[in-house]
Amino acid sequence: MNDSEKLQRIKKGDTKILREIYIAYREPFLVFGKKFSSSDEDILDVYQDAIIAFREQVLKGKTDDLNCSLKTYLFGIGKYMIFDKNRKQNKEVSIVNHDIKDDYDTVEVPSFSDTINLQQRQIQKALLQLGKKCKEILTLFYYNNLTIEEIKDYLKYDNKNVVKSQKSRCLKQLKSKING
Amino acid sequence: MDKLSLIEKYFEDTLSPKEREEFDSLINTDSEFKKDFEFQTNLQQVIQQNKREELKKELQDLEFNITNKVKKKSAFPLLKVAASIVLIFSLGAYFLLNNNPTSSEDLFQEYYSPYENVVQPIVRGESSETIEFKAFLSYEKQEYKEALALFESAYNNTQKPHLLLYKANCLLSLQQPEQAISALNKYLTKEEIFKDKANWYLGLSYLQLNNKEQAKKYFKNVRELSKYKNKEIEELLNKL
Repeated sequence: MNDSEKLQRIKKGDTKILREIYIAYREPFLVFGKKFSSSDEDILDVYQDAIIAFREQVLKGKTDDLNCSLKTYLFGIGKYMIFDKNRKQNKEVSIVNHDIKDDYDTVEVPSFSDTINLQQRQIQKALLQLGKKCKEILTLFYYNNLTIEEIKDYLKYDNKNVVKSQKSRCLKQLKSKING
Repeated sequence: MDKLSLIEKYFEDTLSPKEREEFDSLINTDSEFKKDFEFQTNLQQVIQQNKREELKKELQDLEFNITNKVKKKSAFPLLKVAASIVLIFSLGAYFLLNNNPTSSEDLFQEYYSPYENVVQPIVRGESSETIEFKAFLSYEKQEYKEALALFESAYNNTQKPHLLLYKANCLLSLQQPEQAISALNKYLTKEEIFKDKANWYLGLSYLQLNNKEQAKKYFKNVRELSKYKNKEIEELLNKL
Protein backbone atom coordinates (compact mmCIF):
# COMPACT_ATOMS: atom_id res chain seq x y z
CA MET A 1 0.00 0.00 0.00
CA ASN A 2 1.45 3.40 -0.90
CA ASP A 3 1.31 6.52 1.27
CA SER A 4 -1.69 8.09 -0.38
CA GLU A 5 -3.72 4.90 -0.01
CA LYS A 6 -2.82 4.87 3.67
CA LEU A 7 -3.93 8.48 4.03
CA GLN A 8 -7.23 7.63 2.36
CA ARG A 9 -7.86 4.89 4.87
CA ILE A 10 -7.13 7.21 7.78
CA LYS A 11 -9.66 9.65 6.36
CA LYS A 12 -12.25 6.90 6.40
CA GLY A 13 -11.75 6.54 10.15
CA ASP A 14 -9.66 3.36 9.97
CA THR A 15 -7.54 2.96 13.11
CA LYS A 16 -6.06 -0.39 12.09
CA ILE A 17 -3.88 1.39 9.57
CA LEU A 18 -2.69 3.74 12.32
CA ARG A 19 -1.61 0.75 14.38
CA GLU A 20 0.26 -0.60 11.37
CA ILE A 21 2.01 2.73 10.86
CA TYR A 22 2.81 2.81 14.58
CA ILE A 23 4.51 -0.57 14.40
CA ALA A 24 6.28 0.14 11.10
CA TYR A 25 8.08 3.29 12.27
CA ARG A 26 8.39 2.55 16.00
CA GLU A 27 12.00 1.38 15.91
CA PRO A 28 13.20 4.15 13.56
CA PHE A 29 11.46 6.71 15.76
CA LEU A 30 13.17 5.38 18.88
CA VAL A 31 16.51 5.81 17.15
CA PHE A 32 15.54 9.25 15.86
CA GLY A 33 14.21 10.35 19.28
CA LYS A 34 17.46 9.43 21.04
CA LYS A 35 18.98 12.59 19.62
CA PHE A 36 16.61 14.72 21.64
CA SER A 37 15.55 12.71 24.65
CA SER A 38 17.13 10.09 26.83
CA SER A 39 14.25 7.94 27.97
CA ASP A 40 12.64 5.35 25.70
CA GLU A 41 9.46 5.73 27.62
CA ASP A 42 9.26 9.47 26.97
CA ILE A 43 10.02 8.94 23.31
CA LEU A 44 7.30 6.33 22.93
CA ASP A 45 4.82 8.51 24.78
CA VAL A 46 5.55 11.32 22.34
CA TYR A 47 5.39 8.89 19.44
CA GLN A 48 1.84 7.97 20.42
CA ASP A 49 0.85 11.63 20.62
CA ALA A 50 2.52 12.24 17.26
CA ILE A 51 0.37 9.51 15.68
CA ILE A 52 -2.71 11.18 17.16
CA ALA A 53 -1.69 14.61 15.89
CA PHE A 54 -0.82 13.07 12.55
CA ARG A 55 -4.33 11.65 12.20
CA GLU A 56 -5.81 15.07 12.90
CA GLN A 57 -3.69 16.75 10.27
CA VAL A 58 -4.78 14.12 7.78
CA LEU A 59 -8.44 14.65 8.68
CA LYS A 60 -8.03 18.40 8.29
CA GLY A 61 -6.74 17.88 4.77
CA LYS A 62 -3.26 19.17 5.64
CA THR A 63 -1.62 16.23 3.95
CA ASP A 64 -3.57 16.50 0.71
CA ASP A 65 -0.65 18.01 -1.16
CA LEU A 66 2.09 16.37 0.83
CA ASN A 67 5.48 16.97 -0.71
CA CYS A 68 7.35 14.54 1.48
CA SER A 69 6.82 10.95 2.61
CA LEU A 70 4.34 10.04 5.30
CA LYS A 71 7.23 9.00 7.51
CA THR A 72 9.02 12.33 7.16
CA TYR A 73 5.83 14.17 7.97
CA LEU A 74 5.15 12.00 11.02
CA PHE A 75 8.69 12.43 12.31
CA GLY A 76 8.40 16.19 11.84
CA ILE A 77 5.41 16.21 14.16
CA GLY A 78 7.26 13.94 16.57
CA LYS A 79 10.32 16.15 16.67
CA TYR A 80 8.26 19.21 17.45
CA MET A 81 6.46 17.36 20.22
CA ILE A 82 9.67 16.09 21.84
CA PHE A 83 10.94 19.69 21.98
CA ASP A 84 7.67 20.79 23.45
CA LYS A 85 7.80 18.09 26.09
CA ASN A 86 11.41 18.90 26.94
CA ARG A 87 10.55 22.56 27.26
CA LYS A 88 7.73 21.77 29.65
CA GLN A 89 9.97 19.57 31.74
CA ASN A 90 12.65 22.27 31.66
CA LYS A 91 15.31 20.06 30.28
CA GLU A 92 17.98 22.57 29.44
CA VAL A 93 20.24 19.94 27.93
CA SER A 94 18.02 19.57 24.94
CA ILE A 95 18.42 23.18 23.88
CA VAL A 96 21.75 22.38 22.32
CA ASN A 97 20.09 19.80 20.18
CA HIS A 98 17.45 22.17 18.91
CA ASP A 99 19.94 23.30 16.36
CA ILE A 100 20.03 19.99 14.60
CA LYS A 101 18.71 20.84 11.18
CA ASP A 102 16.97 18.19 9.19
CA ASP A 103 13.97 17.66 6.93
CA TYR A 104 11.58 17.75 9.82
CA ASP A 105 11.38 21.42 10.63
CA THR A 106 8.47 22.76 8.66
CA VAL A 107 5.59 20.77 10.06
CA GLU A 108 2.59 22.34 11.71
CA VAL A 109 1.25 20.64 14.85
CA PRO A 110 -2.18 20.93 16.51
CA SER A 111 -2.11 22.01 20.11
CA PHE A 112 -2.72 19.54 22.91
CA SER A 113 -4.30 21.23 25.86
CA ASP A 114 -6.09 19.45 28.68
CA THR A 115 -7.99 22.39 30.06
CA ILE A 116 -11.71 22.03 29.73
CA ASN A 117 -14.35 24.70 30.32
CA LEU A 118 -17.68 24.34 32.08
CA GLN A 119 -19.78 23.92 28.97
CA GLN A 120 -17.37 21.32 27.63
CA ARG A 121 -17.72 19.37 30.85
CA GLN A 122 -21.50 19.46 30.48
CA ILE A 123 -21.29 18.37 26.86
CA GLN A 124 -18.98 15.53 27.83
CA LYS A 125 -21.58 14.22 30.25
CA ALA A 126 -24.50 14.70 27.89
CA LEU A 127 -22.70 12.92 25.05
CA LEU A 128 -22.71 9.73 27.12
CA GLN A 129 -26.49 9.61 26.92
CA LEU A 130 -26.66 10.20 23.18
CA GLY A 131 -27.53 7.39 20.77
CA LYS A 132 -24.98 5.63 18.61
CA LYS A 133 -26.22 7.13 15.34
CA CYS A 134 -26.04 10.67 16.69
CA LYS A 135 -22.54 10.18 17.97
CA GLU A 136 -21.46 8.80 14.62
CA ILE A 137 -22.82 11.74 12.66
CA LEU A 138 -21.42 14.33 15.06
CA THR A 139 -18.00 12.67 15.02
CA LEU A 140 -17.93 12.49 11.24
CA PHE A 141 -18.82 16.14 11.00
CA TYR A 142 -16.80 17.69 13.82
CA TYR A 143 -13.82 15.36 14.00
CA ASN A 144 -13.38 13.68 10.64
CA ASN A 145 -14.25 17.03 9.08
CA LEU A 146 -16.50 15.52 6.45
CA THR A 147 -18.99 17.83 4.76
CA ILE A 148 -22.73 17.06 4.92
CA GLU A 149 -22.47 15.91 1.31
CA GLU A 150 -19.63 13.53 2.15
CA ILE A 151 -21.47 12.16 5.18
CA LYS A 152 -24.46 11.49 2.93
CA ASP A 153 -22.27 9.37 0.66
CA TYR A 154 -20.45 7.72 3.53
CA LEU A 155 -23.65 6.64 5.30
CA LYS A 156 -25.34 5.87 1.96
CA TYR A 157 -28.28 8.23 2.37
CA ASP A 158 -30.18 9.33 -0.73
CA ASN A 159 -30.52 12.90 0.27
CA LYS A 160 -28.28 15.33 2.06
CA ASN A 161 -31.22 16.94 3.82
CA VAL A 162 -31.67 13.76 5.81
CA VAL A 163 -28.16 14.18 7.19
CA LYS A 164 -28.71 17.87 7.80
CA SER A 165 -31.87 17.38 9.79
CA GLN A 166 -30.49 14.42 11.67
CA LYS A 167 -27.48 16.43 12.70
CA SER A 168 -29.58 19.33 13.96
CA ARG A 169 -31.84 16.90 15.82
CA CYS A 170 -28.77 15.47 17.55
CA LEU A 171 -27.58 18.94 18.50
CA LYS A 172 -31.00 19.73 19.94
CA GLN A 173 -31.01 16.51 21.95
CA LEU A 174 -27.59 17.33 23.30
CA LYS A 175 -28.67 20.81 24.34
CA SER A 176 -31.84 19.57 25.99
CA LYS A 177 -29.85 17.03 28.03
CA ILE A 178 -27.69 19.83 29.29
CA ASN A 179 -30.51 22.21 30.11
CA GLY A 180 -32.99 19.60 31.25
CA MET B 1 -28.98 31.91 3.87
CA ASP B 2 -30.27 30.80 7.30
CA LYS B 3 -28.05 31.12 10.32
CA LEU B 4 -27.68 27.44 11.07
CA SER B 5 -26.43 26.73 7.57
CA LEU B 6 -23.88 29.50 7.96
CA ILE B 7 -22.41 27.83 11.03
CA GLU B 8 -22.53 24.49 9.30
CA LYS B 9 -20.61 25.87 6.33
CA TYR B 10 -18.10 27.44 8.69
CA PHE B 11 -17.27 24.00 10.09
CA GLU B 12 -17.25 22.51 6.60
CA ASP B 13 -14.88 25.26 5.55
CA THR B 14 -17.08 25.98 2.56
CA LEU B 15 -18.12 29.60 3.25
CA SER B 16 -17.91 31.89 0.22
CA PRO B 17 -16.23 35.27 0.83
CA LYS B 18 -19.63 36.92 0.97
CA GLU B 19 -20.99 34.36 3.43
CA ARG B 20 -17.85 34.79 5.49
CA GLU B 21 -18.64 38.50 5.80
CA GLU B 22 -22.17 37.72 6.89
CA PHE B 23 -20.82 35.20 9.40
CA ASP B 24 -18.38 37.70 10.90
CA SER B 25 -20.98 40.40 11.26
CA LEU B 26 -23.49 38.05 12.93
CA ILE B 27 -20.87 36.93 15.44
CA ASN B 28 -20.49 40.55 16.51
CA THR B 29 -24.13 41.54 16.53
CA ASP B 30 -26.29 38.50 17.19
CA SER B 31 -25.73 37.02 20.65
CA GLU B 32 -27.93 33.98 19.96
CA PHE B 33 -25.84 33.20 16.89
CA LYS B 34 -22.65 33.60 18.84
CA LYS B 35 -23.92 31.28 21.55
CA ASP B 36 -24.81 28.64 19.00
CA PHE B 37 -21.43 28.88 17.37
CA GLU B 38 -19.63 28.62 20.70
CA PHE B 39 -21.65 25.59 21.66
CA GLN B 40 -20.62 23.81 18.49
CA THR B 41 -17.00 24.81 18.94
CA ASN B 42 -17.06 23.36 22.44
CA LEU B 43 -18.69 20.21 21.13
CA GLN B 44 -15.93 19.89 18.57
CA GLN B 45 -13.32 20.25 21.31
CA VAL B 46 -14.95 17.56 23.43
CA ILE B 47 -15.25 15.09 20.56
CA GLN B 48 -11.63 15.79 19.67
CA GLN B 49 -10.56 15.14 23.24
CA ASN B 50 -12.52 11.88 23.35
CA LYS B 51 -11.10 10.66 20.07
CA ARG B 52 -7.59 11.51 21.22
CA GLU B 53 -7.98 9.60 24.46
CA GLU B 54 -9.50 6.67 22.63
CA LEU B 55 -6.57 6.38 20.23
CA LYS B 56 -4.03 7.00 22.99
CA LYS B 57 -5.40 4.06 24.98
CA GLU B 58 -5.43 1.93 21.87
CA LEU B 59 -1.78 2.73 21.17
CA GLN B 60 -0.82 2.20 24.81
CA ASP B 61 -2.46 -1.23 24.65
CA LEU B 62 -0.50 -1.95 21.50
CA GLU B 63 2.74 -0.74 23.05
CA PHE B 64 2.05 -2.83 26.14
CA ASN B 65 1.75 -5.90 23.94
CA ILE B 66 4.89 -5.12 21.97
CA THR B 67 7.02 -4.53 25.07
CA ASN B 68 5.70 -7.58 26.85
CA LYS B 69 6.27 -9.86 23.91
CA VAL B 70 9.88 -8.78 23.76
CA LYS B 71 10.34 -9.36 27.47
CA LYS B 72 8.65 -12.73 27.49
CA LYS B 73 10.63 -13.93 24.53
CA SER B 74 13.98 -13.12 26.03
CA ALA B 75 13.22 -14.24 29.57
CA PHE B 76 11.58 -17.62 29.25
CA PRO B 77 11.99 -19.14 25.80
CA LEU B 78 12.08 -22.69 27.14
CA LEU B 79 9.29 -22.19 29.60
CA LYS B 80 7.02 -21.25 26.75
CA VAL B 81 7.74 -24.45 24.91
CA ALA B 82 7.21 -26.45 28.08
CA ALA B 83 3.96 -24.64 28.71
CA SER B 84 2.63 -25.39 25.26
CA ILE B 85 3.47 -29.06 25.62
CA VAL B 86 1.60 -29.19 28.91
CA LEU B 87 -1.26 -27.33 27.27
CA ILE B 88 -1.47 -29.76 24.36
CA PHE B 89 -1.59 -32.71 26.73
CA SER B 90 -4.09 -31.18 29.06
CA LEU B 91 -6.31 -30.10 26.17
CA GLY B 92 -6.22 -33.66 24.89
CA ALA B 93 -7.09 -34.98 28.30
CA TYR B 94 -9.79 -32.37 28.64
CA PHE B 95 -11.52 -33.43 25.45
CA LEU B 96 -11.21 -37.12 26.30
CA LEU B 97 -12.51 -36.81 29.81
CA ASN B 98 -14.93 -33.98 29.65
CA ASN B 99 -17.98 -34.20 27.49
CA ASN B 100 -20.31 -32.40 29.86
CA PRO B 101 -21.51 -28.93 29.02
CA THR B 102 -19.27 -26.46 30.76
CA SER B 103 -20.52 -24.75 33.88
CA SER B 104 -20.51 -21.00 34.31
CA GLU B 105 -17.84 -21.25 36.94
CA ASP B 106 -15.53 -23.15 34.58
CA LEU B 107 -16.14 -20.67 31.82
CA PHE B 108 -15.38 -17.82 34.17
CA GLN B 109 -12.11 -19.42 35.19
CA GLU B 110 -11.24 -20.08 31.60
CA TYR B 111 -11.88 -16.60 30.28
CA TYR B 112 -11.22 -14.26 33.16
CA SER B 113 -7.93 -12.50 33.48
CA PRO B 114 -7.62 -9.19 35.32
CA TYR B 115 -7.51 -6.21 33.01
CA GLU B 116 -3.93 -5.19 32.47
CA ASN B 117 -2.59 -1.95 33.83
CA VAL B 118 -2.58 0.30 30.80
CA VAL B 119 -2.93 3.51 32.72
CA GLN B 120 -0.04 3.80 35.10
CA PRO B 121 3.12 2.15 33.88
CA ILE B 122 5.13 0.99 36.84
CA VAL B 123 8.67 2.20 36.56
CA ARG B 124 11.29 1.19 39.02
CA GLY B 125 12.82 4.08 40.92
CA GLU B 126 9.99 6.41 40.02
CA SER B 127 9.38 8.80 42.82
CA SER B 128 5.59 8.98 42.58
CA GLU B 129 4.20 7.65 45.79
CA THR B 130 0.57 8.51 45.21
CA ILE B 131 -2.18 6.21 46.36
CA GLU B 132 -3.03 5.50 42.75
CA PHE B 133 0.54 4.43 42.11
CA LYS B 134 0.54 2.14 45.14
CA ALA B 135 -2.78 0.69 44.06
CA PHE B 136 -1.38 -0.30 40.68
CA LEU B 137 1.70 -1.68 42.35
CA SER B 138 -0.40 -4.05 44.48
CA TYR B 139 -2.59 -4.81 41.48
CA GLU B 140 0.37 -5.92 39.42
CA LYS B 141 1.59 -8.05 42.31
CA GLN B 142 -1.87 -9.62 42.38
CA GLU B 143 -2.48 -8.48 45.94
CA TYR B 144 -6.09 -7.72 45.20
CA LYS B 145 -7.27 -7.09 48.75
CA GLU B 146 -4.71 -4.34 49.28
CA ALA B 147 -5.24 -3.03 45.76
CA LEU B 148 -9.00 -2.86 46.29
CA ALA B 149 -8.69 -0.63 49.35
CA LEU B 150 -6.15 1.58 47.59
CA PHE B 151 -8.22 1.93 44.42
CA GLU B 152 -11.20 2.89 46.55
CA SER B 153 -9.41 5.68 48.32
CA ALA B 154 -7.64 6.79 45.14
CA TYR B 155 -11.02 7.05 43.45
CA ASN B 156 -12.45 9.05 46.35
CA ASN B 157 -9.55 11.46 46.08
CA THR B 158 -9.28 11.90 42.34
CA GLN B 159 -12.64 10.79 40.89
CA LYS B 160 -10.83 9.30 37.92
CA PRO B 161 -13.41 6.97 36.35
CA HIS B 162 -10.98 4.32 35.13
CA LEU B 163 -10.06 3.53 38.74
CA LEU B 164 -13.54 2.01 39.08
CA LEU B 165 -12.68 -0.43 36.34
CA TYR B 166 -9.65 -1.66 38.24
CA LYS B 167 -11.62 -1.75 41.48
CA ALA B 168 -14.12 -4.04 39.74
CA ASN B 169 -11.30 -6.27 38.60
CA CYS B 170 -10.02 -6.60 42.16
CA LEU B 171 -13.53 -7.52 43.27
CA LEU B 172 -13.83 -10.13 40.54
CA SER B 173 -10.52 -11.65 41.53
CA LEU B 174 -11.78 -11.72 45.10
CA GLN B 175 -15.01 -13.43 43.99
CA GLN B 176 -17.32 -10.57 44.85
CA PRO B 177 -19.26 -10.28 41.60
CA GLU B 178 -22.21 -8.25 42.96
CA GLN B 179 -19.94 -5.45 44.06
CA ALA B 180 -17.97 -5.70 40.85
CA ILE B 181 -21.19 -5.17 38.91
CA SER B 182 -22.07 -2.06 40.84
CA ALA B 183 -18.57 -0.62 40.33
CA LEU B 184 -18.77 -1.33 36.59
CA ASN B 185 -22.21 0.22 36.27
CA LYS B 186 -20.96 3.27 38.09
CA TYR B 187 -18.01 3.44 35.70
CA LEU B 188 -20.35 3.42 32.71
CA THR B 189 -22.16 6.49 34.00
CA LYS B 190 -18.87 8.42 34.18
CA GLU B 191 -17.15 7.87 30.86
CA GLU B 192 -17.11 5.46 27.97
CA ILE B 193 -13.55 5.18 26.86
CA PHE B 194 -13.43 1.61 28.14
CA LYS B 195 -17.10 0.89 27.49
CA ASP B 196 -16.30 -2.35 25.69
CA LYS B 197 -14.02 -3.54 28.47
CA ALA B 198 -16.57 -2.64 31.14
CA ASN B 199 -19.22 -4.66 29.31
CA TRP B 200 -16.83 -7.58 28.98
CA TYR B 201 -16.23 -7.63 32.72
CA LEU B 202 -19.94 -7.18 33.42
CA GLY B 203 -20.52 -10.32 31.35
CA LEU B 204 -17.88 -12.17 33.35
CA SER B 205 -19.37 -10.93 36.63
CA TYR B 206 -22.72 -12.43 35.70
CA LEU B 207 -20.98 -15.60 34.69
CA GLN B 208 -19.49 -15.75 38.15
CA LEU B 209 -23.02 -15.31 39.51
CA ASN B 210 -24.16 -18.14 37.26
CA ASN B 211 -26.59 -15.82 35.46
CA LYS B 212 -26.05 -16.94 31.89
CA GLU B 213 -28.74 -14.82 30.30
CA GLN B 214 -27.38 -11.56 31.66
CA ALA B 215 -23.84 -12.65 30.83
CA LYS B 216 -24.84 -13.24 27.22
CA LYS B 217 -26.48 -9.84 27.03
CA TYR B 218 -23.27 -8.06 28.02
CA PHE B 219 -21.07 -10.15 25.76
CA LYS B 220 -23.33 -9.21 22.88
CA ASN B 221 -22.95 -5.56 23.88
CA VAL B 222 -19.18 -5.87 23.58
CA ARG B 223 -19.56 -7.37 20.14
CA GLU B 224 -21.67 -4.36 19.12
CA LEU B 225 -19.19 -1.88 20.53
CA SER B 226 -15.83 -3.05 19.25
CA LYS B 227 -13.61 -5.93 18.28
CA TYR B 228 -12.40 -6.29 21.86
CA LYS B 229 -12.09 -10.01 22.80
CA ASN B 230 -13.89 -10.81 19.59
CA LYS B 231 -12.73 -14.42 19.40
CA GLU B 232 -13.39 -15.15 23.06
CA ILE B 233 -16.89 -13.76 22.81
CA GLU B 234 -17.81 -15.90 19.83
CA GLU B 235 -16.60 -18.96 21.74
CA LEU B 236 -18.39 -17.98 24.91
CA LEU B 237 -21.68 -17.28 23.17
CA ASN B 238 -21.49 -20.71 21.56
CA LYS B 239 -20.85 -22.40 24.87
CA LEU B 240 -23.53 -20.58 26.84
